[in-house]
Amino acid sequence: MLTYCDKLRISSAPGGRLLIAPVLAAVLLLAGCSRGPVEPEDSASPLRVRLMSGQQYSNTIAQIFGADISDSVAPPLPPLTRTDGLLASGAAFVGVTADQIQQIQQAAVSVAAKVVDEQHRDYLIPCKPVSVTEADAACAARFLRETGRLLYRRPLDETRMAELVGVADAAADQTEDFYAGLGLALEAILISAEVVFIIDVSEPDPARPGQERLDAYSLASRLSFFLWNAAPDDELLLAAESGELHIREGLQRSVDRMLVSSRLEDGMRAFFDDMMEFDEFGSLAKDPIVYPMVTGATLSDAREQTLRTVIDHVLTRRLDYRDLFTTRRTFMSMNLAAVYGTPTANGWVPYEFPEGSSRRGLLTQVSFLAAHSHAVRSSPTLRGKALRELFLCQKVPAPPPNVDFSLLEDAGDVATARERLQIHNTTPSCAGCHLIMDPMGLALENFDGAGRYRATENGVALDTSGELDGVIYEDVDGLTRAMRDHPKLPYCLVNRLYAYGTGGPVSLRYDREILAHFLERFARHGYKVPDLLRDIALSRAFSQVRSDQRPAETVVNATGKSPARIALDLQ
Amino acid sequence: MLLVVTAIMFLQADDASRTYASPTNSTDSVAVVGPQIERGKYLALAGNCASCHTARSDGFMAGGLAFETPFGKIYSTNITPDVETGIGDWTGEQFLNSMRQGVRPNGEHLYPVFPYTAFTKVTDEDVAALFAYLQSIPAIRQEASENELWFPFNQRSLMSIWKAMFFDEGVYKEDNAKSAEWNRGAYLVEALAHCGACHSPRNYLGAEHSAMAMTGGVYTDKVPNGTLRPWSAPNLTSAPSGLGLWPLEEVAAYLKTGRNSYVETFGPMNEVILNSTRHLSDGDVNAMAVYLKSLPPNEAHTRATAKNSVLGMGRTLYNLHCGTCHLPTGLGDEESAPRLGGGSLVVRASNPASLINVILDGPELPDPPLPTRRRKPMEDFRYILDDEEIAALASYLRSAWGNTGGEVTAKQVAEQR
Repeated sequence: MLTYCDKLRISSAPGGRLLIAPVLAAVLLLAGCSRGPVEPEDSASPLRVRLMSGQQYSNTIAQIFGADISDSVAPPLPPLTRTDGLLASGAAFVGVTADQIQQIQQAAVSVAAKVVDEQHRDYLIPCKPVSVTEADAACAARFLRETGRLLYRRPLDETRMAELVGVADAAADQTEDFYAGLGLALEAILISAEVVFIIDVSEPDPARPGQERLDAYSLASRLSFFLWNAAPDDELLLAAESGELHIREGLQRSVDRMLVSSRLEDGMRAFFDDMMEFDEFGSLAKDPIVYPMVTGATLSDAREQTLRTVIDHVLTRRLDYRDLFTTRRTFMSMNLAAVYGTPTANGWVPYEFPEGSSRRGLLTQVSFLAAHSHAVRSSPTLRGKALRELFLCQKVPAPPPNVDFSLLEDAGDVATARERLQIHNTTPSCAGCHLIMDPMGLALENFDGAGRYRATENGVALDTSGELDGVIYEDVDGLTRAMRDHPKLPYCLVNRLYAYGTGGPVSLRYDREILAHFLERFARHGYKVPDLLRDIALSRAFSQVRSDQRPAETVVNATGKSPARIALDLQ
Repeated sequence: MLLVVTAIMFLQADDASRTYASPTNSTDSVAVVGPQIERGKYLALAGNCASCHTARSDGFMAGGLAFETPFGKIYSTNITPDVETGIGDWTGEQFLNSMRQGVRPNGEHLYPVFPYTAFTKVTDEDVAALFAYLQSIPAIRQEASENELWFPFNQRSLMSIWKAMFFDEGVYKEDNAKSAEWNRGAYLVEALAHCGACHSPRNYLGAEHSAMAMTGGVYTDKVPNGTLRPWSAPNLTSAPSGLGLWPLEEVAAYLKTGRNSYVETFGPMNEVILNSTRHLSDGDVNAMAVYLKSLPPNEAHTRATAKNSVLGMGRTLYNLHCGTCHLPTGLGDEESAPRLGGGSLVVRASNPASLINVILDGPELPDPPLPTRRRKPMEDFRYILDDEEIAALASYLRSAWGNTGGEVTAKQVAEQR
């Protein structure tokens, strides 16, 4: 069916009425009918099986059973390996060991026990058994059907339901306790592969014969873990059940609802925490003799400060993503105030660094400066490396195995890092990599290893000039501006968000065009992150399954079961 | 190296009936004895016969290898002694005629994809030894594939005109003013090894451009993903873009081992070295180097250097993607990557086709691999960099560290992609 804009185009095309063509062309423009970049026709993403992260597990348990139960159980899932910049992408390549299965089972036991205990059963179980000492198949079925749907993220088929009710009834009979039986059935659900793995399932796409798309429930899960970092809620599952998610307008309704939900903040905090490698804060420490003002609480607040800054900037204020690297606006806590050298009130308060301050943007926040330093001193090399890898998606090779660090250690009696690192420039085997790290990191030398400002190092004034990919700067202000305007900065966010959303690293072989498409639209929309999230979530690439998957990316076997299914399916 | 891919045919009928009669030493009369076969085997290596006449590992010299030419596809023939499908029923004289004159036993013209323009210079004795060797190898029954040349190039008779214009028949004549080593090198380079087939530019009819001999050529061959793309063979004269910076010992080392201080073999040159030059005696390899180093500098046309803005972009890309291994000096390191400055023929070549190929797809290294201390092979950048970026990067490489290769355009990259 032709749209209004299509009709206008036809009218203004050659062969239309000559006199009205220019007028209609103008109307066309004024009417805002420009469609903008068109998504590549063949865009699609791989089917994946990915392990739920610990945070996703906790969020899901909290969402279904309440935060108190979630908080009482340590997430049993193994740590993920960062892949192409994201732990979330590593989830597509991880398995579970026998020990980890045991941990998953122990967590299931704990969760199930709490759900059915006297404190929780009345509001978590939607019915009461005829007798608490006997099996009640109807009540058990009602609970298991409703709860299982949320945990499995799709309805349970009747065979599975019968198995679970059978487990509940048999256990109730044995223990003479309806709730103990129900708890055992809930355990069985919680240790299912389909619960702890996010398993994409495809189906033939009726709109594209010969091609596959995610089925509605897989699409709901993908959307939910992307935007909320948790399993779909009831409303999203209903949209999947009704087929609404496979209709453009229905999908838009669901995505728009998710984007205005307060849970979007949870999702984006998880994403940026992952992208900025904030999991490293778990093992970050500073030498208390050198940096006595930096405690574990300080570092924890540094992480929180940056997450608050990001969320406020990109979601609350809907500002240009690139300006995160030059903004003076942030939040301050008492713990951080000592490092920043500024007074503040109790709790978290909005704060703006004054004009003239060297603090501008994420690179000058304590989280970045302290995380990418040594325990006792700053590290221009680590900072330069992080700048490239975290925010520009550029890879810096690992140092060669035979690198001779003694050259650096024996740099002689030098006062500043710039002098010490000069050795990199004079040693050819070091120079190649350090050329793309040190100059950027040296621009941040006005901040010590804890992120405190300093004008000098060992009494010598600091030279913070340098170059970032052809842009020459004099100081940290120049670096932050160069970073803000770097063409790879928005590209990197697009790359990471698309990977995060589709559950695995991008393949430049297949995804170049779709990434370029998202980037073009991101730019067109003023680099507003919510608009980018919406573009990705609504794209064909997000829900269409790539037909030419390489073997390594084919993660579901012919039976549609994940490799871990056998290990985890304990029923 | 794959032979004359820009093969040429010409349009005119001819009697095509000339045959060669050896004036002094009919090959029919030469007894097939061990030493002669051994000599023939060595000559077959020097001529790199197997690279073109072997399509499968179980089909040594049985032909069937396809050559893409501007005029269609042409297949190498079976030169095993199979009577029905090979050259088992050929006489020595017929074989000599094919080498010397480019004609089949039935008088038909051969297409110069078979480089008889070079082989015509091979001596009667060597042709006889080569024939003796080929008659001694196992016969393989394998029908020659039908060439897929389009009209009118599928008319063999038309080659007579082409020959009249471009083919100088005759055995190599020694230059008495030069040393025996130089003459041996010239004989190997110009006759048996037919280096000019790839390393000389060709005119519009596909014949080697004699005034620009050995200044570099272009041919079509496979890139690592199996598709056919243009490759550039570098200048072998002593021009700045050629062997001018390479000492004689480095030339010899490259031919003998596939590696020297300046470059390592990759792509189509692999089979030249693996199947041919590395098997030659040190004396012969040195003689080839002596001859090549004597070629006077002759520079093919080069493009102007790119604009500074393009070079700046290229420099940034180099630092990010290349300099960590090839180093900011461009001199590389034996553990990380080969040098790109100070004598890399790939970078300096007047035509950047091979440079673009290696950036797009990474180098196709010899199989089996050469001994190496490299930590990792070069990755491909086909999906990492776009056309404009690769053009800027290549332009930078060709202007840095004394290189003067000139600008590479995004259009050139797009054509190679």
